[in-house]
Amino acid sequence: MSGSTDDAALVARAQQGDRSAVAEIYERHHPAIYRYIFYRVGDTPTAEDLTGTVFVRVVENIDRFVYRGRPLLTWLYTIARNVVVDHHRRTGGAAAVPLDERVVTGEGDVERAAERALSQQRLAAALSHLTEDQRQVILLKFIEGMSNEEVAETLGKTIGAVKSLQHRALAALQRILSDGGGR
Amino acid sequence: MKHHLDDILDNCLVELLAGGGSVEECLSRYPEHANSLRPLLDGALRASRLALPEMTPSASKVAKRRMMAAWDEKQHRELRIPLALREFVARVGSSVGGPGGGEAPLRGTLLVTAAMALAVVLLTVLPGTLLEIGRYRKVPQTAVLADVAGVVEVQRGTGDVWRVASTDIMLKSGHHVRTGSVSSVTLRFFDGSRTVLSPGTEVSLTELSSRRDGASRTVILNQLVGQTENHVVKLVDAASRFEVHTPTTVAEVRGTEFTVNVSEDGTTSVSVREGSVGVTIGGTTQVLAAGQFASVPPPSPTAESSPAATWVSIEAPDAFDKSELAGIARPTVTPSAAAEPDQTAASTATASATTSAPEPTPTWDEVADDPDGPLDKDHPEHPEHPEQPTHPGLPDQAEPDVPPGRDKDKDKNK
Repeated sequence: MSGSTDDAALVARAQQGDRSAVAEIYERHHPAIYRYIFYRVGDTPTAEDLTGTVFVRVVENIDRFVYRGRPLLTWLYTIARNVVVDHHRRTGGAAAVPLDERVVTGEGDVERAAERALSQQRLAAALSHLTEDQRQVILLKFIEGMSNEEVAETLGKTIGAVKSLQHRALAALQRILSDGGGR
Repeated sequence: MKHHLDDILDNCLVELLAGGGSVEECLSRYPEHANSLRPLLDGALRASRLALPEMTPSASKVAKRRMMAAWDEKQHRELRIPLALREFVARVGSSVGGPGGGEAPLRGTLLVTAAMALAVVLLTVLPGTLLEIGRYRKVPQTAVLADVAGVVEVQRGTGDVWRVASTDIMLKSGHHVRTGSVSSVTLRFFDGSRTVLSPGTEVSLTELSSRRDGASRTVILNQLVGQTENHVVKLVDAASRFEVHTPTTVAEVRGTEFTVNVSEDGTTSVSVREGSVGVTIGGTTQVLAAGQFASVPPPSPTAESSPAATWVSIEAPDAFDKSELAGIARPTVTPSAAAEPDQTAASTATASATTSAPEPTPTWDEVADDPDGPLDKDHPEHPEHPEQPTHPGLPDQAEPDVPPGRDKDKDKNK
């Protein structure tokens, strides 16, 4: 995979002290990391601040990173997840974000109400009720637009596992959005 | 049956996300599953059609600047091992750690040899190492927070958690300090100098040290964003220094009062209230006298590949031969803006010399003290975590992905 080759070369350059490689890591990956964090915390300023923290940690730990064929983004997602966990721990914020229960109303018209209501914030709130794997599949497949193969490689799972996760994640989302709350 | 439905759902999604067909067409092929599939397909399509969340350009610049500042600080802090030696060590490591592994005694011998070679290089090749001995040995020094107003946070090391701090907290090299959007704080250094951080400012204490005998006092700050007002006592000897680094400049003075402002776009402004300051950018030194200021634009994209050009050292005039200044251009000054020597109010003097940021200063969430402390050893990113050295394809640390009563996904491992 040419992407893997690029990642390996980029990491090697950074580990050898190439400042431009470090900048390139940021330029290449900060949008995806930001989107992941945004859908974990649900608000822009926090997501922006935490994105910066992720890449500072990348700098601190790049020398210990050992490239073994998995995408660099996998490692970045790991750091991002830990940054978000630390953030929730510090702020005492609930891992699950309350949904706006005003959204789903309309007797006999649940689908249209849900469609009308879905927004970035609403999706973020719904995603907070999923497991991490389910969240990742939703984000990677339907937000980042990755193929099953790419998702499998990023998450370190088989394609079959990705399809199964996809099914469960979508079913969970459908329940959450139609119920207006978590189970 | 379950896996069959997984595949049906996925087949429909692949087709729909590629823009081919409609939900109804897909459901018509699987009428027995239509009721189950419809809401799943609708949900997936809605999610895929949402606008992508994006960082604001200013926030992206700030985040990148934090990353590059951390990188520069790390390079400044660490010894740089020559590439050849790195390769040598890597080859030694791989020759004993490859598939099938190596014999333990051979591994131990080669690792010891590599370590000895590294020690020889450090002692004989690299000048100015941290292995100063005798009376020239540097000892770490400290600073203290004073006049805390509002929300002031301290980070003990890059990547560590930010903690709300109070007056009299002691700081040392490697610590970071930041102020909230309506907050301020004074750093009082061991040598009597002090730096006032205005609202929305973040600095890191790159070095605080002196010689054992008190000479060679060193204060080096890295200012990422915001405004600082620096009151530097007269330095005791030629080796003492007070430096403020920014993305484009380094101000080094020997007894003066000056202000450094770094706006969100990376523009650095240095203004001098008392004494004189030399500003060096990319090897060119310019001298600022009291009442003058210089404004340095943000680094250009090419500057990142030549870090020396982004760092500016400011030397006091008596620290170098003035004949070296011959032919060096005077800094760009705005006499009308800077010529307010009679104004004693620091805020007024500094306001006249600073460039207003084009975007609002970012605000930080107020963060409560973290009773758990920094990353503990069980945290996957802790250096001592047993899995840290390996590729971070770590087992998922979050909650299990199965409802209670079911086995884990049998396909989890490839």
